[in-house]
Amino acid sequence: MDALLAVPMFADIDLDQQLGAKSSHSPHSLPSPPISDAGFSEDGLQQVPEAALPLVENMSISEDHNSIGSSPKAKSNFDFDDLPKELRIKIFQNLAVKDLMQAAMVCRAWKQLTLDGSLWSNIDVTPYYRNITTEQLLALGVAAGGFLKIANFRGCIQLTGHSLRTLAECCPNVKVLQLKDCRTVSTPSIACFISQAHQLQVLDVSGLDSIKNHTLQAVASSCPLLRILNVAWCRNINGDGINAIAQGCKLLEHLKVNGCPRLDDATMSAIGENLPNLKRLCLASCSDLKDRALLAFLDSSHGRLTHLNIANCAKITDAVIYVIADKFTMLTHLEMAGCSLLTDDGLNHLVSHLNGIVNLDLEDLFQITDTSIREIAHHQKSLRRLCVSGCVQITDSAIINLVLRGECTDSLEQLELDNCSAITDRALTTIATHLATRKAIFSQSPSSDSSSSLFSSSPPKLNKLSSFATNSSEDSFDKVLGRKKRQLSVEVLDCNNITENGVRTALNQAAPLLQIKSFYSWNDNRRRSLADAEDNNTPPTVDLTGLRTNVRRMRYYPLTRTRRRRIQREANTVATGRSQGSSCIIS
Amino acid sequence: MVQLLSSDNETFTVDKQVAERSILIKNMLEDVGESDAPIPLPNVTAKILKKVIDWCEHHRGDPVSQQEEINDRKRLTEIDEWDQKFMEVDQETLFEIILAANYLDIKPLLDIGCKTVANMIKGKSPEEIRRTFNIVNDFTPEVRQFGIISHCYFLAMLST
Repeated sequence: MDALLAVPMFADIDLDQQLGAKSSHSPHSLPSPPISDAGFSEDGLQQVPEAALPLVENMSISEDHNSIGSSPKAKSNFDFDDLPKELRIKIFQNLAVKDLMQAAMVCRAWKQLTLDGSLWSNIDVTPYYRNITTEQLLALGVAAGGFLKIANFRGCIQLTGHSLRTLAECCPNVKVLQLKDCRTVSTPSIACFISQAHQLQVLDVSGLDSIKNHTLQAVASSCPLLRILNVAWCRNINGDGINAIAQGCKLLEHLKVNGCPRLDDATMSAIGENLPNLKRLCLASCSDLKDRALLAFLDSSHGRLTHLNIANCAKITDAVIYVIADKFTMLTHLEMAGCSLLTDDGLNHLVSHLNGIVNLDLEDLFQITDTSIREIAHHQKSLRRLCVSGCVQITDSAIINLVLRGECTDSLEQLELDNCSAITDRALTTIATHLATRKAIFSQSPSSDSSSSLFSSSPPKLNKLSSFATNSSEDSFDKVLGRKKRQLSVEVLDCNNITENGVRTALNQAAPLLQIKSFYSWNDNRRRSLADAEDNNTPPTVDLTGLRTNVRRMRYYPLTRTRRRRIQREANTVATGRSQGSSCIIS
Repeated sequence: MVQLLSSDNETFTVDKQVAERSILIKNMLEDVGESDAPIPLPNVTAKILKKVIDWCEHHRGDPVSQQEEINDRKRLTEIDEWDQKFMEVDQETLFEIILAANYLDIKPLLDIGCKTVANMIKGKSPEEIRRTFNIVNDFTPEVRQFGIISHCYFLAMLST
């Protein structure tokens, strides 16, 4: 098989060279291919007859080769192996792991070359994490040695404690270490690696039971450069370990401690006080987190936070929200799903003080009403995602006001209304009519700014597109804008008062600009994407399996489906390792 | 205009802008200042120098990117059409161009050369690589057998 593939290829080279020779009718012609002959051979021929010599040898080699196909006796003047090592490595740097493995089998010199550390500064086992053996993994790590900067062993259970200890010796310069779901590494071996990894900047050990408080103490004392730490769902740690981290890793920018118990006042205040660069803090499902602890954090914090997640911290009350609103003026992402004690009071204060919110998650805050939504509509200019699923008191008029007249009407991309039983078809159809009208105005008068405000995020490009559109048919307008323009996606799963008719009418009116995820639309989506696939030869974009399971689950748990889904998702990340892993901090 | 002198004593006259694609020459010109004396390039033959000048002429307008590019194994095969044609030379010339580009410090040309060689390795079996580059398999029979088994196993895994 190999020989079959190789022979014609080699014959080509030979042919080229013979052609080159024939074209100049002289044994002294240059060994250049026919393409570059013109304007080249003239100066070359007269001045450098030596340059012609290699050709003869080259040809003899290729003949040699064709006849026996192995171990050529003659050598050309300049071979691959004559290149300096750094250039050979530079060539190998262009190869994927798979090709490097093949190259390693060519000869001893090449094998040595493929094991050069500089080719392995980034070991990412993602494509083969299931199959690579412990020995191979270790060999890669040892080969990389001090060059290893980024090591992603995510979910690779072949990584044993022993290998990690060896790697600790060989690879002191690791900057990024991803050990998520490596469940076979023991507590002491992780500690051993950590204690040598003084360059570590990013560490993800989420979901590892082998992480204990004293492991975190080791991190705190050995890794002063740490910027990102993910210890989400490490079940054997608590506030004490986090406290140690806050004392030691003062450069931390991003801390994820989902599900961590016993985050007390002292710990939280240490996080606030000692980490001046902290920009993202994720405390989701730290269910015993109390107001007092969070207030201690807010009190001492330096106020640089842009992302805060306190989802499922059910003991949090409005008091905290007031302080957040006053202190974190740079906050853009705030998730408070399941903090069911929060009311309109706190939220109104929040949205009227923080103007730059991009992502706001208020899922299952069933005490909030239309008042909050109106405040959001009035103050938030850059809101892109709003989730009010399970906020049962919210009605059509507030949502319509938000989408049609709110400050965020240009920016809003995603609106989740699952389980909002007060929302009816009227909301959907009104939104659809609004979007459709805008589209119509927009396509007719592209120059008028007021009408194109829906697309104001990138006016120059879109103006060009729309002027193109006015010259062509309506269909091409859709197609062109379909990729460029901003869509509004509305999720209305489990809304008792949304009917199939309502969803259909809305979609018919504004289909490309409006996407609706509902109990009824999964079937439509499938049909449409199938039709699309037939039309455009593109694969269907809708994830049917996901939708189907949603539907099934919804029937069994009609009221708390979304909560269950969230909880299940988080549990999955712990239990099955590589499932969906919502927002892994490294990748 | 700048005069360049190849190792075999051939003189080439090129635009300053073209010659300055080579960081080596650029630095030399800055050091020496205005001068009519040809710049000697003792490591480059006329044949290769001609090729390199051709390349520099064609790419004279390219923006010179100063930033160090990150090693990204993904953007591998991107060589534009003209460069592909340019690199359709015999292996020896190719290696010499790479060497010259390295010596003259013309990073984009060096990158293209390395990519071209890498593309000659890509997707080939070890035996095909040996034939392409004229390499003798010097593994001992035992290692050969063992190596092949373990590597085949590894590759089978990679492809799944």
